[in-house]
Amino acid sequence: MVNTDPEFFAGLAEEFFEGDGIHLLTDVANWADLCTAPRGTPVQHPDSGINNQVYREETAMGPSAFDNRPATLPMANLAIENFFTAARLLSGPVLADFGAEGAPHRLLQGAFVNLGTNLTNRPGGETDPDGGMMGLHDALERLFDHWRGDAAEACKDYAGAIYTFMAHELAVIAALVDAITAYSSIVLAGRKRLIGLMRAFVGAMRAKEAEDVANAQQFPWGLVFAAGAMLVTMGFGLAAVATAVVAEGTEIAVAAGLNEVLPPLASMVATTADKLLDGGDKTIPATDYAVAAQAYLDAANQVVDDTRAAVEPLTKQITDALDRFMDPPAPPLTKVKFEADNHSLEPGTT
Amino acid sequence: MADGQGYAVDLDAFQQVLREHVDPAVDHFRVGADAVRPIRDISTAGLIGPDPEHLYGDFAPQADALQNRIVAAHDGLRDSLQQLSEALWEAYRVYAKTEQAHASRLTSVYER
Repeated sequence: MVNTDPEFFAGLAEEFFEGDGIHLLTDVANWADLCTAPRGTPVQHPDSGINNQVYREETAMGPSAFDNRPATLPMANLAIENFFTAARLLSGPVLADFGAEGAPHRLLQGAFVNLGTNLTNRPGGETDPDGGMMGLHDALERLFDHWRGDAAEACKDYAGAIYTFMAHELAVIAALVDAITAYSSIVLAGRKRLIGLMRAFVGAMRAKEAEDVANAQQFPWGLVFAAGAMLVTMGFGLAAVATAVVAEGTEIAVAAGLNEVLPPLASMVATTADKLLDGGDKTIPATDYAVAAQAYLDAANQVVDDTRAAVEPLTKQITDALDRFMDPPAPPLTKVKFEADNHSLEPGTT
Repeated sequence: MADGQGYAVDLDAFQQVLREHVDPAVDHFRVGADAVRPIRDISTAGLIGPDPEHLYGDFAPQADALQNRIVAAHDGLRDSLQQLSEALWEAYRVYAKTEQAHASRLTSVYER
């Protein structure tokens, strides 16, 4: 049977439907049908010159059915669905949800900007000159200009601990935002790679079908290099911003709004996913239907394996951040302490 | 600046810095902590969707764990800063009361 029912493709990620809708998927399904349908079963294949129709031939013994598929078909233990297994495995995450308003990536970006501005102060803009804010650390430093003594010294230590903690927190948030961005990029790149693979598969099958190409003709498909750990160094990383904020005091300009400070996830992911793809030298041969189909299936499995391998270092990055996580410092002075013993700040006792 | 035996403070400047700089910075951080808190209720596994082959390993649970630690740390620092702010204002009141008492004693001596 051939399956062009849109319901058959339900659950696949939206990227697989981009461009010509379900046309590519239908082509893959049709060629998969050609490769897997039991011999003698009618196979519809609208574009196929050998359309796998069951012909009836008049013989001396009467009408006899035959199909015109090569002897290497059908491929054993395969069904049409196997040609979409990898696509389904990569279709779970709805990438748009990761970057939506109120989603983790957005909330973490907001927290990053909040922490970054609190570390570096917030300048008032031209339209709001009074909108500036002294960061917590500098505000406490200003307090110490007018206050000395043991209690002040304890608060100085606390201010230092706050700065260390906030800088640490900024780096942790940056690492998580980068990991989510990298994860989404890897998944998207995997999907794009599968789409390229599907196109190469269909191209190879058509070329074989046309039988007007040299046997050596091959159809390339895009590669993705498994580089999860390298992603944060590719240019979108907040880790570098965090370093600049903490080490160099670089201000994060928030007046222009979050979108202009930190791009939405979708645009970062699309750019990064494209960086992960290259032309590559992998090909699907057009010499034989079964060979081409097996090459497609092997390559699709490789996409899944590469995706798994690319996500692993991201998980490790998050695990490392958890292992190194620093808890916030406790205040050196509390109102409760004062209420219990407010003489500790009075003259002659400090 | 008043100078006691163990401390020195310019009360007016102390109060001004508290009001104009420390408290706004504490409040700014509190707003940020409030804004990120909803992340606690978002499951990364839910965003990832079905993963029958465990393709993404422990990415989701670890991301959720880190998100929860970030929220807890923000809340912890917010509470810590709030307590500090209250303590600094209490310190201001203690210093002010002490200075007032000190001035009162001086006035009494002068008037005698």
